[in-house]
Amino acid sequence: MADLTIKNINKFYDKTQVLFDVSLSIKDGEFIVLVGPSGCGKSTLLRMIAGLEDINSGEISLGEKVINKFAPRDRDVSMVFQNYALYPHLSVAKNIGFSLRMRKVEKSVIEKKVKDAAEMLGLTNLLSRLPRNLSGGERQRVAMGRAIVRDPEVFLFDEPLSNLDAKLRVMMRNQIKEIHYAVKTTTVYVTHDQIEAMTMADKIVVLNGGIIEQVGSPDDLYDNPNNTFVASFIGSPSMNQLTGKVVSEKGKKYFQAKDNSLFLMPEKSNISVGQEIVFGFRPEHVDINSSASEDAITLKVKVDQPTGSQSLVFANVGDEEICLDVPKSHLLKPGIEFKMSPRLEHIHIFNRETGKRI
Amino acid sequence: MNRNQGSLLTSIYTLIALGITMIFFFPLWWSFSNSLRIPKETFTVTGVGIPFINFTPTLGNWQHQLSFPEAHIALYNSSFIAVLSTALAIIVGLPAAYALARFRFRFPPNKDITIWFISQRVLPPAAAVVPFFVLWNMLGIYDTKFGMIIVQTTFIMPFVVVIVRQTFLDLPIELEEAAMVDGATHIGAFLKVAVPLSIPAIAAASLIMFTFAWNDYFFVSVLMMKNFTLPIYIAGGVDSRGVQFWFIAVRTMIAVILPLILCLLAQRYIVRGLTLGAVKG
Repeated sequence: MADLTIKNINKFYDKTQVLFDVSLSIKDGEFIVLVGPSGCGKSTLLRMIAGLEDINSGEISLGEKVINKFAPRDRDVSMVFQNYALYPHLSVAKNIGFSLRMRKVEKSVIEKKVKDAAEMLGLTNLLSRLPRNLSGGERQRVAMGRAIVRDPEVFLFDEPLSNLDAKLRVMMRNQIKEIHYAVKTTTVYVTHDQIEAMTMADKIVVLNGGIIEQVGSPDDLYDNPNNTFVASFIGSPSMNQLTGKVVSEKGKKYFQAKDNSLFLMPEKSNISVGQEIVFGFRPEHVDINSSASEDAITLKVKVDQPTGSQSLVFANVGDEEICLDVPKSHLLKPGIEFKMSPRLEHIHIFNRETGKRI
Repeated sequence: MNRNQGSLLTSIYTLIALGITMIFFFPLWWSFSNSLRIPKETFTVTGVGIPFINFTPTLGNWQHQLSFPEAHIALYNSSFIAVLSTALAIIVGLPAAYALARFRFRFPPNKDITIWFISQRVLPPAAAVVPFFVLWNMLGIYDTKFGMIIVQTTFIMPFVVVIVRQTFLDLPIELEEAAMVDGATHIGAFLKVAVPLSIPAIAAASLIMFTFAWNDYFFVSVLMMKNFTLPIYIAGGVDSRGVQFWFIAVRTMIAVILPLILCLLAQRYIVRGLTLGAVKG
């Protein structure tokens, strides 16, 4: 067991750079999720760890060993692919045991390990089937069986759930987590789905345009996003972000939106009056009507989307749309006016130009 | 168009197709029919020559021909050369097909290499045969089966390269990547994953290559003397008394049987799509 360290990695496809000086250290046994929009380089990074992609500069090491010159088979990593990549001409048992056969493990040992893995994943009845006779979820489990049977140093998952339907995805999320609790193998998991990242990760790495935007625990990213990108990427519905400037009134600092409505700002010494900022708050961190503070602003409901006990209410502040996640009991329907104030302790302020957190 | 008109049209097309097929099939039928007739009935039988109806069949020609040592030599040489040159073409051509599908060459680029392979087929055999003749004499492999296998391989290999290259391109690359992460070398991934999944294409290419090598007359006629093959043997059914149609008919039938059996055997591989279920679908 060892830590996985990635140091100053750069990657070019022809002349286009897709990863910029990426560094990351992953502790033994951690569940890391690489998340970001498509084309952000997350899959490329994963494939580099697997050895399926060359590195232009930098270093990947597992424990003390620098592995970036090793062939994939010598790295002791196993990978689950997005489209499962099951060998269509081999039965489920042969698929799961493939890596052991490649390593010339004894036949009786292979049989036992395949059986154990199949039991763990509920595949015992399917061992003699061919992949084409399996459902999507079963194929997915076979792909995982193939990865865990080897007991590798690192698991790599490349968007393994994106081909499943929503219900199955939730189930598989649990199963992957359960397996991780059971085997405690370092896991690097790539997804574009921030909910998957939030629900599964010990640590999330947010990538954007080949750059690491932020690394942290799910709570950390949710509560303290480093910049406007992370703020809008993590959390669903995403954080409301209004642009405007800081003004001072009655000795207090206010944020003035483009339509001149004023929001009370938390006390922060490093923000000066007149500064252009992005003012952010999450849809769920607001008080409505009677519970709203005295600095509340009045808005009119544009659209409402009931989600069960809650309701997503959309309204405009000037020409910027905001979304609020409020209890349905407030009965906010289109056209109704209401008072709203973001909770002071949950307000995020970013630099307007750099997008960085202040 | 209603359904009746549609099925009527289909019937008409089927009839036309059948008619055309019969025209092309007739020489083969005539050979078969003739192989069962006594020599003097060659041109005297009326109708389309259906045994028992238009004439009384006999196995005399077959008995005579099958007891002839030359027939055995020809059949043996043809099989030997066609099978081995097909096998050699696959052994040499598959890695070439894979390399063209999976690696990017800069100079010369993949496209040019592929075209160069195809150009081996486009090249008129007559242009190549004289150099071969001179070279084979120098190397001492003129009139040997070994020499003929090399010649046939040269000209049939483009088939396997071009056909199987396309199949490799259509295979999801993740399968080989998974094999490599699972502990296979690149060659292991090629042999254990890419090749087994391309068997339908390999079977199809083999059949075409076998048929070309089997049917070749030109190179054998120039580069072989005592070691003749079936096409030469068929053409040899002419002597001072004229064309021996009855013997030629039997020899033609013998030449047709082996490829026909191979076709039937390979059919199920060619039809079956093995890649089903590899990825989502």
